[in-house]
Parts: sequence; C-alpha cells; structure tokens
Amino acid sequence: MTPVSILALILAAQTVTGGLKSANPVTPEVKARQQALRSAAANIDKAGPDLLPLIESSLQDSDAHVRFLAIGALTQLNMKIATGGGQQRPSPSVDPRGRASLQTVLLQTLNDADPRLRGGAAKALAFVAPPPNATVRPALVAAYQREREAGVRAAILSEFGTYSPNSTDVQQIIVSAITDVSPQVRRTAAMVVAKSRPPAALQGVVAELRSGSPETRAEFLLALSSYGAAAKPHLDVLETLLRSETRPPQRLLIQRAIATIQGSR
Amino acid sequence: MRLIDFTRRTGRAFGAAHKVGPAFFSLALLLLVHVCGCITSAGAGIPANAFYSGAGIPVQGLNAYCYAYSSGGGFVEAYVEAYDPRGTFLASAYGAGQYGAEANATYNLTVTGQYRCEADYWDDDVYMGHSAFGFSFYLMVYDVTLKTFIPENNYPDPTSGTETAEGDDRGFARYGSSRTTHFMAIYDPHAAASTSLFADGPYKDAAMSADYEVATSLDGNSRLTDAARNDWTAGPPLKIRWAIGDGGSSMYCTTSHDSAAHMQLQCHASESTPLHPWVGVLFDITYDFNIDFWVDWQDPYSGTVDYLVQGGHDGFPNYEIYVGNQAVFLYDHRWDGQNIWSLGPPEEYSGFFIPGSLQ
Repeated sequence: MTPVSILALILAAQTVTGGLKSANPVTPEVKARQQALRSAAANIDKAGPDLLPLIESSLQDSDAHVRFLAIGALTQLNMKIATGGGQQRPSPSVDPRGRASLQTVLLQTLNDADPRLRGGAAKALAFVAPPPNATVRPALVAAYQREREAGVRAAILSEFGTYSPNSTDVQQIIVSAITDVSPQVRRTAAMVVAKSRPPAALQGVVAELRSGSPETRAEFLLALSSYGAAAKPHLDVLETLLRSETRPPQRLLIQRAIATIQGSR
Repeated sequence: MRLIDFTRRTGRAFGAAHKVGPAFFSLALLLLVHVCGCITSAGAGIPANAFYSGAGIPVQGLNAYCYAYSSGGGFVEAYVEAYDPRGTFLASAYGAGQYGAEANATYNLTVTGQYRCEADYWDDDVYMGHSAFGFSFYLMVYDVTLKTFIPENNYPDPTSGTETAEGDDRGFARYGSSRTTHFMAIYDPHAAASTSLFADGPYKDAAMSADYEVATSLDGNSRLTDAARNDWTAGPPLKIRWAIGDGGSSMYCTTSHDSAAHMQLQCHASESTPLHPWVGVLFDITYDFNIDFWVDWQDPYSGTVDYLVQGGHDGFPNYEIYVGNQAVFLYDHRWDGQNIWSLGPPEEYSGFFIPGSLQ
C-alpha cells in the first residue's frame, strides 16, 4: 500500500467520524497527513491516479501545513510536467490539466490566509485551467485586486501575459500594476505590457522611464519598444536617458530600444 | 575541464576535509576562537536560546558548544565543549562514526542532565544536533546548487550562419555540466549571531564556451563529432575558438534571516559569454532567485522545512535549483519556445512562485 493510499484511508475515516476539523493542529492524524503528502511529493514520478484526489482533499484540510504541503506537491507535479519531468516524467494519469474539481478547490484556495498558498494556487490555476477560461480569469482579477503581498500580485500578474490579456478587466489590472508600489510588480507588469501592448498603459510606461528608476529600466525599455510606431512621440524620453547614461550595457539597451522604435511603421 | 564541478564537494562542508586526528582539533580550536569572540563582544555572555556558529547554549550557568562535521569518505564527527560563565574551559568530548551511523559526543554537565552533540550523515547533508535535558535543537546545513545549462548538443550561433556553439547535451541533473554554477552550503537560521549563513561557499563558476564550424564538426545526426571536440587548434575546420569564462565575476549570493525559523537566500548572475565580448554585453545569462526557507522547530527530527522560490530569469538557457538532491526549481527553454535571443536583459520570466517542502 502506498503512502498516498494510506492517507486516503485516513482521510476517509476522519470524514466519517467528523474528525477532520480537529482543533489540535499537531495530532498524530495531522502528522500522518503531513507525512503522506511529503511522501507523495517525493515520489511524484511514481504517483498513480490517487494523487490528485489526495491533493484536492488536502487543499481543503483544516491544518494549514497540510494545505501548504498539498500546494507544494501540486506545484512540483506541474513543474515536472511542464519541463518534461527531469530524469523521469510523471504518469499521464496524474496530469491535472482540465480537471474541473481541482479548479474549484484552487479557486477557493485563492482566499487562503497563507499568501504562499494564494500564490501557489494562482500559478496552479493558470496551469490547470486552459486559457481563456471564463471562470478563472475574473477570479484571478479579483484575487489580484485584494492581494496585499507583492510576490503574490506578481505571480498573478505574470499569468495575464498569456491569459486573456486583451479583456477589459485584465487590461485595467495591467495599467494599475505599472504604477504599483513594488518594483517587482512593476517589472512583471512591463513584461506583460510587452506581450499585450494595451494602449492605456503607454503613458504609464513612459512615466516610469521618465522617473529614471534603474531597477525597472530594462523591462520598461522593452515595453515601450513593443509599441513600435506608437512610441515615436516618446523618443525624447529615451534620448534623455541615453545622454545621462554612462554604463555601456545600459546605453546599448537604450540604443536598441530607440532603433526598434525608429524602425517601426 | 569545462568547469569545476563544485557540487562534488557536497556534504563535505565546514572547511577543509579532515580525518579524525590533530587537524580536526586544530579546526575546532579556530572555531572556538571565533565563538568566544562573539561572547566577548556581546558583553553579557550568550543570551538564552541564541545560537552561534558551532552552536552554544547556556545550561545551568555553563556554556556548551557543539561542532559537527562530515569529513569526507563517509566519516562524521561530533565535538562538544563546555565553559563556565567566565569562559574558562571545563571539559570536552569527541565522537566519530561512519556513514549510516551517528557520531555522538556527550558531556555530563551536572548530576541532573547532560549535553549531547550529535552528527548524522544523511543523504549528502550534515545534520547537527545538540540537546540538553531533553530539550533538543537541530542545526541543519543545506547544500544549494543553482545551474544553467544548454540542453542541446550544440546550438546555432546567432551571430553566424556557419557556426554552432557547444551545448551541455543533457536533461535536468544536479551533477551535470553547466554554463554557470552557484553552489553553497547554508546553515539554518539558528546560527543567528552570524550575519552570513554560509557554511561553505558560495562558489561560482562560468564554464568554457566553444564555437565550431558547422560544415566540418557535425555528424549525420547534427551532433558534434569527437574529432571536433578534441580539436584544439584555433580556427576552422572543426573547433574554431574557445574561451574560459571570467569565473563568475557578476555572480553573487547573500543570506538573511529575521528569526530562528525563517531565512532567505538571494542569488544573482548576469554572466556574459566569453566568446563574443561586444555582443556579450547583451548576451549574458541573467537571473535573480530568492529562496525563502521556513524551519519548523517544533519537530526538528522530522526535518520539516518549507521553501518558496521566487524571482526572475532569462528565457534561455535551462535553469535548475537543487537543495540537497531535491529539485526545487526547473525551467526548460524549449517549453515556451524561447531561444538564445532571450539572453540578456530584461529577464523574460518573472513572477514565478514555487512553494514546496524539503523531503
């Protein structure tokens, strides 16, 4: 019997007895559930069809660390599927993509108290739900709007680059993200802009470059270049940057952006 | 030849490898000098539950220190010392063991308890623990490896239609060859008196790059021939040029911690290819990785450590991060159709968010 099977039995027994909502977070049962999830994550390559039901039920567990271990196992699984699995590819039977019940659980996890779970759920949703998805997109938009952790905002935002970037609500998010207080979020926003080029974001991109912030410059140069001819009225911003920049790599980046825009029709 | 594989030193942390003998005690003495310096500067001795490099804990007016080593060849060593509150040496104990066993050093502090230092060799990691009166703490050391590599056997040079660059020709693997390597061993956050949590390293390296003539260097499967690889005469045919990297001058890592349960490792690289100095201004491997670790000290024997990987990196080449032997981050440039033009700033991928738990 695999660790996953053992945990499934424990979960089933606890559901019957109502013991899942135990107030004690470190009971032997909780430890058993945690250990089984760790074992499942360590043996992703050998996992069978009982893995995804385990992850789904564990994401709804009353114990915060069980939930964390579950999102960790799912993230590990998705990463191995996306990259070919490293030395061993997971079985197709554990591919979570398109699994509706998992999507439902992950949507709930976007509200978890632990930001690590919220960010992990956002990334997992983007992997599991095929874009465009009419349910997931507005949920991610809402999650972004209420999110206070910059890392989680960046995690959600990066998915909008390929996830319905032209929808009105997503474009509004992108425009607001360009002026986010966190440079991490602004950098990610600029990369999304470079892919989707929302007209409403152009002025924000120019304003960030005009501010001279060195920590976001490379991303915003790319974002401005992506507008092509529409960015020509703002070439003076780049020329001003070039005059004040002495570092060869940075000058080359600016020169490349100027050349790209000048060569656009 | 193409790079120094620092990861082969995995698990043999804590300075020079040494067998049981005088060299070991010399190193222990050096460490003690360091620890005692910390005590002096603190003025009032070690505060309760504070841990220093090598670990110290006040027990009934005594200060005890634990040092644990993995000395290579499967040997583990533990060494415990005790001092009175004025810093006067009282006694020491020493133990050693082999792979698969424990090394214990026990010093009886009083009639009511003992101080036990323990070293276990376990899966490339050294686990150090010390306990007193049944109140146990474990100090752990994590080997962290960050590598970038070109999975292809060779990759067409973007600046020439007639040349191809040598790749690493492999999938994800902790010990494989690479373009850049970051390797380090880090303490857990209990080493709170130190501003750095590095137990070994960080080491960094950028590999040799080589360009080949396409017409003469590839076999029928478009793979580099042995003749081409073994050609060390510059210019066509076969291998045209090669260059060793600058040793990772743009690569660095730092650690920080805000409690005994949380620490962060940050690593950066913007490493240019050594073969194309001018083009290389933009053609560099760039990454910024932030890895948070949370240690659950409620149950140290289970080794519960959570992590979260965030940051950004270029779209090329492949990226991999291992803690011990566990892959915590994998990226394959072929997954998203990225190519060598994705080198250089900005970082194509940011906002990734990889939570997990060490096994």
